[in-house]
Amino acid sequence: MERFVLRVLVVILLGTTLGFWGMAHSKVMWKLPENPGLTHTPPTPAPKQAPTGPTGPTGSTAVTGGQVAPTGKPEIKPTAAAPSDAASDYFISLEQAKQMWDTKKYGDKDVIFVDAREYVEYQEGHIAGAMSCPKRRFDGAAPKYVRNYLPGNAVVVYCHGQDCTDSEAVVKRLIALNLNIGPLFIIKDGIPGWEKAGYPINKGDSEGFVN
Amino acid sequence: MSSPAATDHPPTTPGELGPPPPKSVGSLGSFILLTLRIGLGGIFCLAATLKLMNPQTFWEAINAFKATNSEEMKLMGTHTLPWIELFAGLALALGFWTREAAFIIGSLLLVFIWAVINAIHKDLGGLPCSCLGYWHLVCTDGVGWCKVRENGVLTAIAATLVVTGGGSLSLDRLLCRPSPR
Repeated sequence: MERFVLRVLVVILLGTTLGFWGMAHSKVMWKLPENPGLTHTPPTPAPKQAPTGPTGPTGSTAVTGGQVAPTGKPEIKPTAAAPSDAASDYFISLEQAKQMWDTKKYGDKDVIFVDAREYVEYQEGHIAGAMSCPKRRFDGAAPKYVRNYLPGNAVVVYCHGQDCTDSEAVVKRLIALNLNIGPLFIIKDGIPGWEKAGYPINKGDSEGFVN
Repeated sequence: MSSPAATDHPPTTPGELGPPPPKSVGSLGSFILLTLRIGLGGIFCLAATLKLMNPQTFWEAINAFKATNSEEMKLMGTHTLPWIELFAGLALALGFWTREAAFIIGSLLLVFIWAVINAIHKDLGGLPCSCLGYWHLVCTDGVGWCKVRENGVLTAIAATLVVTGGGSLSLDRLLCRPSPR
């Protein structure tokens, strides 16, 4: 009996020791960190002309809360009335997302849209050109297409809208990969808002992002 | 400690024989035990590996179950449980310290059953289990009574292995075999 207890304790102790080692080196995020994409200052000097209205697909003007800002690089700031949790730091409005979709650029980085909903929902309708990447695809190793296409790019994630937490979960997983993915953004109004605004929607299978 | 051998004649009555030796299972029994061991141990090794590969996902699963509010407990569980699962699963599959490994796995399964029932009572039914990453055993609907039954069956297998041991096709038996003179 003593031997039984001793052996059980040995296994548990071994696991606990390695567990504590893992804790000491843990990169688990309790909450989303501050979004570096939202806090940096645009490096290029401001042009002289005053803002005149909503921005077009030029890439040379910037959007702050749907307004044009005179910067050479998109200056994205969190939208008003966002929830108080850490995810709000990543929220962008539909107009900001549309501008990034039009230009496909955030500063000098390409922008890739990521659909965090289930693949069936993606097939029923998604932002044109978006990559499907439900959060459960990160269970175990991250999908190969994530490793292939996302590093070095700005990523805009969306799901069902403000109350949907899948986007936040995917953003956490992307940060945890440490593959230089980002800056990362979440479309606050999600696909329902995008659809309502009449922005481009595609149906069917994954577009271009292959394993 | 008295011994039956202290008497002048060989033991003949049940009282003199002492406790009966464990019944030896036949070759079919050993094969069944081997299958159960590799099956259960393999499931736990797979689950542990997936959790170790992506601790963030496992932490979120623990968080979603709302079993504890302590961030330290969640973080400790995230990093400790997979290692214990891995060692116990590996030991069980190999048949090394079989009863002890089966006991640990059975205990873990009881904790998981409690966590699932707790989640059901908190109206968290359908929550993704994240027990085996992207794969499922039987239940595909996430947290629910199906998961309780599934874990119950696994616990019964673990209990069986605690009682029977690893059988003749195990490292335990191999290491305990007396060396020929």
